[in-house]
Amino acid sequence: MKKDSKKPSLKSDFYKKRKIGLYLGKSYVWLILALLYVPILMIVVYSFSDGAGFANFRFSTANFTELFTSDSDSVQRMKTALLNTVVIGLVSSLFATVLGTLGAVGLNGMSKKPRNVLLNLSNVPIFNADIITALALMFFFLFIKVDRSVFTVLIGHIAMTCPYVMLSVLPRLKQMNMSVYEAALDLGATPFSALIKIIVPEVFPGMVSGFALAFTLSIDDFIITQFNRSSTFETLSTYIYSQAAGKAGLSGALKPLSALIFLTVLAGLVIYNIQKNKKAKAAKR
Amino acid sequence: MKKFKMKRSYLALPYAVWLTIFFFVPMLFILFYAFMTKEAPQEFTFKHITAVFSSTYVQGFLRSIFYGFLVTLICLILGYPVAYVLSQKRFKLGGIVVVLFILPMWINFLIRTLALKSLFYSLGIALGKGTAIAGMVYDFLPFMILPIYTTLLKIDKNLIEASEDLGAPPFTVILKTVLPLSVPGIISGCLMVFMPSMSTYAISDTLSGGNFPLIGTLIRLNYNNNWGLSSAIAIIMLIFIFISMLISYKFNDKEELKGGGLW
Repeated sequence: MKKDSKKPSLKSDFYKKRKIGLYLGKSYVWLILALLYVPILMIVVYSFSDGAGFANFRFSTANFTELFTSDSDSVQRMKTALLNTVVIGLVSSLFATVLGTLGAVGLNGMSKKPRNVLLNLSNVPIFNADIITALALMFFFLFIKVDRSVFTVLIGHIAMTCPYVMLSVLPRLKQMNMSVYEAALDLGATPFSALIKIIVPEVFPGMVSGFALAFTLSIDDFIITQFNRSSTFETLSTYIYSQAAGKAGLSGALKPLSALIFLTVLAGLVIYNIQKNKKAKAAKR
Repeated sequence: MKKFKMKRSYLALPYAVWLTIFFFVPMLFILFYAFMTKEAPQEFTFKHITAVFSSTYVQGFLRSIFYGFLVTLICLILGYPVAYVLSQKRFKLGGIVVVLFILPMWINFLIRTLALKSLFYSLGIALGKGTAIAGMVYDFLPFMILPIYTTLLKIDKNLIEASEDLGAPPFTVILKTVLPLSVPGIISGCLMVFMPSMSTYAISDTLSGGNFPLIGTLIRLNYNNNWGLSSAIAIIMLIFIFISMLISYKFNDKEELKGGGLW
């Protein structure tokens, strides 16, 4: 620490104490992090074991073989559920990004009063408990006599996530200079092409983070899917929940699948952060 | 010349319509079923609301509120120091470590819950209240750490230096300068933990062996057969949500509410 040497010795005791504090703090952070990761890492390790429970580890790749080659009913169901989760996640976040971005652009162009009304209304679905949103939507679909299916799940996910996209695009719009957009219109651009060519490039980072947020919320959702799906349509959440009762946690092929999900997320984050650091370094130069 | 002038505000129409049809209109159904009898001549009734005030449901509510507070408090006590250390410039790895705290949020929460269940099982810990609370703390802790962390990062470092220069010992600096300045983060962290821990049933049912009915469980038990009762429970819950929204508005800039700044 450079600071230490510059300070008068009178204060050295203060800095010594601060250093000890930092060490204590760091150890605490690592401890909590370890607690957070123990269950997940156990699953990764024990996906390579065919012994029952954590007490008897017996190395085997049987779980992975089951995951990749078994055509048993439950493994097939699991794979379909995984595919459904990803497809629902991508499609709903795409829709939510389009709706949310349009919403933000429109809201940004409103006068103060309607803008505040729409902004406050957008916060309601965010604050509402998922279980109430899910229940309300279920009543609605039952009332208008629409059979619950993949589409009702999609509709629910879009409604749940589009306010988040709207709120992550809005700050970008506030920073941008709208006279460029007005100028484009004056020069004869149609509103649509002005939107695509002027506004979208400007707010794109907000759209990306909104999309990522919507995708995260969608693949993590359990209750909205559970209340609004048909009995044959499953996502990973509802599949795992149906497998959870009465068992000693994750069983069979779910272990290697969870391990693979963890490693994918980890790899994704590492790559993302390396890219970000590269960009930051390039920007510094 | 054009009859129809396209205004920019019209672009919000699809968004507003979608939210109205698929969120606000459905919410009216909750209101409707909570105050209407199910039988053919549907009439206005308070019987569902009064049913919520029968002992089973009142107990469920009180239990949910109590354990919701408990989970929130544990998360705050465990999470605040983590957020504080992570936000320190002197902790050079802080920026990387915070990503490690976000990572579990990208793994399905039921996978995390069942992983924890496996761990309890192999350690020979019997499922019950304690394990359910531990599970909620485990699942929701990142939601507490992140908002506090972002608020702490934004604190003007000059204020901290000033209180140090004026001779405040480190602990006093934290207590009298850092803590009050981070109240908005604490509030949004607490709301983000309290609301889901009150309304979850997947986590509490899975990790308690089914003996720990919270509000979410009560809604789930009634949503197929007794729409009136589950709607009435939802209405009472909405009152809590409304209060938490007001609290959050008081402490935050309007457009920086939940979500946004997190990812």
